[in-house]
Amino acid sequence: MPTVSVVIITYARPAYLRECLEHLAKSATTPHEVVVVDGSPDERTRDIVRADFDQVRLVQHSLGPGTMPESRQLGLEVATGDVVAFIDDDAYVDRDWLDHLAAAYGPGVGGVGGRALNGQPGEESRGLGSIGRLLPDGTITGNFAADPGRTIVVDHLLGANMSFRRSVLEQIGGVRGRYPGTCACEDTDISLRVRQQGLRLVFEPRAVVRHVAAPYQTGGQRFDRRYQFYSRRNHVLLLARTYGWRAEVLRRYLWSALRSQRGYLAEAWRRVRHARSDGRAGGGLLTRLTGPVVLARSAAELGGLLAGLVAIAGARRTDRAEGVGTP
Amino acid sequence: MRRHAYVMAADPYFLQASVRSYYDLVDRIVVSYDADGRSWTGTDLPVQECLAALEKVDVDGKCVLSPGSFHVPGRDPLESDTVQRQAALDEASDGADWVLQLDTDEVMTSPGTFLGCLDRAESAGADGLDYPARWLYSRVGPGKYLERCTRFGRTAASFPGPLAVRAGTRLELARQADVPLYRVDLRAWNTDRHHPHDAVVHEVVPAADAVVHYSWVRPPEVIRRKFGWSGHTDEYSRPEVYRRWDRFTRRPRLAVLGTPFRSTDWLRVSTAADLEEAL
Repeated sequence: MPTVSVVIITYARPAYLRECLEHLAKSATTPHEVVVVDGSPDERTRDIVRADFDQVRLVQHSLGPGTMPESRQLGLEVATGDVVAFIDDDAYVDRDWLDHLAAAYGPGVGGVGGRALNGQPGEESRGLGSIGRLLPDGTITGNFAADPGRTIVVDHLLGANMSFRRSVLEQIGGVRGRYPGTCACEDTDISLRVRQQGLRLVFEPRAVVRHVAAPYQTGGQRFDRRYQFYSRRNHVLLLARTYGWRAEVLRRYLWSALRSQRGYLAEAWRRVRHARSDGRAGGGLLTRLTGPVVLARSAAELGGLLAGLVAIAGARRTDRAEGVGTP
Repeated sequence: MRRHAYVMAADPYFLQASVRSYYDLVDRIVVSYDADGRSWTGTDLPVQECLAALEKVDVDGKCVLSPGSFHVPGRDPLESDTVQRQAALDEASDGADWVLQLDTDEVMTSPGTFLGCLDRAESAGADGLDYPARWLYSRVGPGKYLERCTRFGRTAASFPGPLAVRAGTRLELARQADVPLYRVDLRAWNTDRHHPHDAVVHEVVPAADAVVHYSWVRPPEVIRRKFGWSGHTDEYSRPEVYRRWDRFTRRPRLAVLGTPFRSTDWLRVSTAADLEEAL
């Protein structure tokens, strides 16, 4: 069995990190090492780690919020295990999580991820058959809470519960940065580049974390307009950096993103027409007046697409300069 | 991966070409048929003709005959269709990982592509493979057919149900099953108007690799009989369905020119293998 270094990146969520570390401490098999990468502006997180988890290696930085890829890279640089596992600070591992993760590393496997339960009803069966896929239209599917009942092959893994062979991460030049904001995409970036090495990524449903979705400490809500902006921006960047400017999958994604705006237009029109969601008349005056506000989501997404396209040239130039460029 | 298949011996048209197209992919083929030669609607079926045709194809002795009684007076034909398929699927599931379920007028044009998709469906954790079929409406000349398409003449897939399911699957209606599907289409976005426009597409294959469904490619007297024994007989046996089929078959250009202006029956002229043996 490979040795596993567990890297947890965190930003100003000490209570969640404490529980995360407590769950890790109860693991059936002790990890090779646990690394906490902390960018918090205060000492609370560091105090907890130093006082109560003296076996945990602490890496401190001052890169500020929205630097998840850079934080993961800092953790990778100090990790020494055969495998580097990343979990979020609000993801609590099951007792046998590490054993299942490590056991899935067979020949040709470059990375292993597991389920991230969000506590939503029916999530264990939602999206079965579409777990962790990069689709031909350029979009990606998640569904990482689903339980297919067996180990399956996926295209990408979820940052809250993923692991890779350290040697492979080093081979691809580590974690690429410049995915800012609240939907960073660096987990998918790593995954796709590992697959480009001819290795498989597998999803082991028995390697479970409970993802409690702690509030952001950088302001805003979990899936707000800012998230939608960065989701589109970083996705465009992800495809262009990984597959190149001229990749068909990039063109398809842009078209898919534009097509999906029809949903917002239809919703705005429905509200203005004074219709309820079932199509019948109803809803108040306020609903009619605020109907067009729905289009703010569309504006955020279109802005994100544009920002992504603008950022491509610079990101690819920097990737090449740093030796982490892909075709 | 151990693969079996089942077929329902009821319609000799294209049967040999269909079974031959995937014969090498499977280890066993369960041949389900009504022992009394009755269809789900009670009409007579040329069962013996089908069994004789299968005997010629079965050079390696893979076919296992499985007679049964599937005509129940008063029962919805689609329900009988489902019952017969389920019985055949259960039998074919024995010792298999996956079971192919192609109708006898569906011909696999690229078994290698199909097998690749099936492998990827397996590794993705799906329990069914939705593989595209080109749905042919009628034959209008040597190797030329009217084919269902989009309103403006682009190739469209049809998905009558997963063409392969994991062994032990429970069918809901005819071939359809409520299981996680790996869905292959002809473009990156859904091309079947009967599916939601945002239906997930996991993989794209060229139209040339799609299964060819010679659905209504029959001589007039046979298509009339087929409408009578089909699971969809309530719909197909309406006189206007046959009249339209006859009109479009005799005047394919008009059928194509009128396509953008019709709300249904979008057709174009396309080419496909001319299976003389079946015609």
